[in-house]
Amino acid sequence: MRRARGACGIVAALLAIAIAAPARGDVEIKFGGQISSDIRYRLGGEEVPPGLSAVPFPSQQRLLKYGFSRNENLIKAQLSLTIGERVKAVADVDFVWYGYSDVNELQAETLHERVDPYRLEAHAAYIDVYKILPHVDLRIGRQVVAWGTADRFNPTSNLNSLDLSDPVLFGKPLANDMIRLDWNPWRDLIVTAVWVPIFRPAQLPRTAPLALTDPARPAPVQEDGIRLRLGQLALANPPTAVNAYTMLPEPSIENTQVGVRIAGRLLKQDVSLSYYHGRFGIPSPSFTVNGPKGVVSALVMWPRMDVLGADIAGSIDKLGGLGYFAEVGVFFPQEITYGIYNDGTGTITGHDPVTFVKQMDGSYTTKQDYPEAQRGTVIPSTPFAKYTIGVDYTFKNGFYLNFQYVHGFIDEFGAGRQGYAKAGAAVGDAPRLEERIGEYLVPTLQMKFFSDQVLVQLAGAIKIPSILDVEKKSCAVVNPLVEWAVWDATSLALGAFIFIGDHDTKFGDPAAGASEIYAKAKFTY
Amino acid sequence: MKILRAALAACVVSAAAPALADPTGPELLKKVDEALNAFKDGVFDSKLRIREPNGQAREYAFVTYQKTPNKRLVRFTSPGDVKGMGVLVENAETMYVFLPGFQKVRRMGTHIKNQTFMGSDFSFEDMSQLALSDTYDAKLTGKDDKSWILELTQKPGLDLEFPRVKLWADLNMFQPLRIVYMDASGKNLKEQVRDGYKQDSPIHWQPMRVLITDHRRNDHQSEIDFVSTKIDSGLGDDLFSVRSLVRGQ
Repeated sequence: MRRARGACGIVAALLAIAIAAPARGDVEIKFGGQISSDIRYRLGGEEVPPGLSAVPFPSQQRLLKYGFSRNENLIKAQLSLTIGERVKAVADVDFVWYGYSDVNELQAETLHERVDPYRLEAHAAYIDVYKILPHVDLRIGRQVVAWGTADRFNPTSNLNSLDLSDPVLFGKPLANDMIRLDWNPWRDLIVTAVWVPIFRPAQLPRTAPLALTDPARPAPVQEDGIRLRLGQLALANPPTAVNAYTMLPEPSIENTQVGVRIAGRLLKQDVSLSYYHGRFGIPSPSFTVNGPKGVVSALVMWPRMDVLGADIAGSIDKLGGLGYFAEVGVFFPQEITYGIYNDGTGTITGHDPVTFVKQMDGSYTTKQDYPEAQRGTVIPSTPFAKYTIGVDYTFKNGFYLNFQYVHGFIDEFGAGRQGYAKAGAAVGDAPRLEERIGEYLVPTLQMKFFSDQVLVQLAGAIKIPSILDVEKKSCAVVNPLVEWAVWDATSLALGAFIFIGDHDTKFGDPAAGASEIYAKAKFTY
Repeated sequence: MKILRAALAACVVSAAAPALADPTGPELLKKVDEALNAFKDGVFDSKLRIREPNGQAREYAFVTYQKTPNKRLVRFTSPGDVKGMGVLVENAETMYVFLPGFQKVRRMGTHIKNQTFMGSDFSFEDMSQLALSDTYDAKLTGKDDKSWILELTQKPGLDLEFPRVKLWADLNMFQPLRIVYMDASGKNLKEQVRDGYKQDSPIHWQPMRVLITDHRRNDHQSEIDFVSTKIDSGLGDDLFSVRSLVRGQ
């Protein structure tokens, strides 16, 4: 009886607290979101084989040479709850219907989630506590922390990996669970510190596995002699299948990410310095195990890195208020070598390391016993820089031009060179090599007509050869778009994303994707 | 006694003199500027309606926080495609835009002033409080039963979009009732009408409606209705910061 009375007392106390709580501040609720539809048709792409799983998910969404490559419908729900001036909670969730079925067996046809597959994406689920300490704000939860002054090509923004599944977006930051502190000790000076407990890898495009599972592609090593030797070995024992596996970082304290940024204003220009310690979001090949019957298992891992960043942005009044921005990240990568093991025929231990010994003439011989000799280098530990310099301007007629020079595309990482298989290349054929960190011109022209109701956009990225490239080639992606705001908050869009380039170039490589035309409809509320 | 009368007469004449002589153009323009900026800070809840020639209308809702002389923060509340967007003007050279979809604050070049405000007939310049005497020389050209009529000409060395302006200022409030923007030849390019004035502080009058007609765009019209105004509530400088711009999504 005494225990029951005690429990009643606790319940009464909690009720009293709950009832009393609103008195501290009214909850302001804001609700919004979006309903949209996105349908795309693929033009002349390379078919993507199913890979490890018997079929991709949903099984009907196959990337054909010509076929519908996207048929998504989305409902976005955004909720913001504010209590007084101190606390805010924000949620932003997408419900996405793939628009393809996953019925590859009859049982599946009896399940709603297989007949009409869907997914959930949380872009935000965080709580803000303002002035938790004097001049200090706290944000905890799933969030995006976007750093840098450039448009989309931000070498200093590394806390969130990118969603590369939609090429039109050139990488959209994927929200991740973080703790963020902002300290504003004086005027415009803001110090931001972020801790990310669990690493979240990038979302790769559906065509990405082609980069690893095509046996005709060159081995991802820097040493020409080792690449040549690996090509010869592959030619002697052609792989019957290549399966790609991952080595995702463990959820340990050593694998957490941290970032610090100091931002302020100097001579009327916005400037910042930043530091990031963590991993690159796109995986790098790191191991290959040659199994029986020519089945090759390739393993990828996410390289560690430290990045020192700096950026600046401002306006040049003498040039009619031309906006300018510049951003640089100096990367200090973890060295990744290419571990090769032979579990197939003729092994000594059953799991023999395959390594290399450099000869006097510069060529390499292969070793297949302990102790290990030299491995090929995938990512050298040499520091490298990525930077973006850009300007933007609005003309008197309202046309808007943004032009960026980008050194290092969103997916590029590591010093050295990148190899591309030439069109029709067979296993072991010599690749075309170019500098891994490439040079790009990225123009965007937006023209608005009929009181801004119609937007015509011409955008793209042109890869120009690096002065160090031996075999110089250019390639490009072009993104024309017409968007019509048919009514308040309602728009229809027609566009295309066109890849231009030879097979052995960045944008001509089938792993980069294929040209698409698309139609979108969007209503926001 | 004669001396006293003469002194009194002199006093009456000297007191009456300013009332009889009209103020000069520059004096009136200064009064207009003072009337426009007769507050330390203000919160303006507004609706922008853009009328298309075919009869369609689009509507945007936004709240403007302003602190004289030139700090301004605009937060859009509807429709959905712009909800959460914010524009911060710290001064004539420093502007930021917050785009909630990208979770990013972007420093803007002052070229953004060449854009219309959300496709309306208001430019970003129009959205700021006017301080005309900085850029125009004024000449009083007339007076009717309601207003002083001023002709403004751009100051030497400037290259303004509207080199000439004609302004009708209320006789008592000195607030603009009508503004006609012209090119150098005097051709009428754009016109603004301000009405529904309401006193929202002892020294400030607020037009509750501003209608703008752009003759260059086939008489395209945009209108701002002020739903509510709150003057001199003591807005802090903190509100006009990049940090605040991000928070207010």
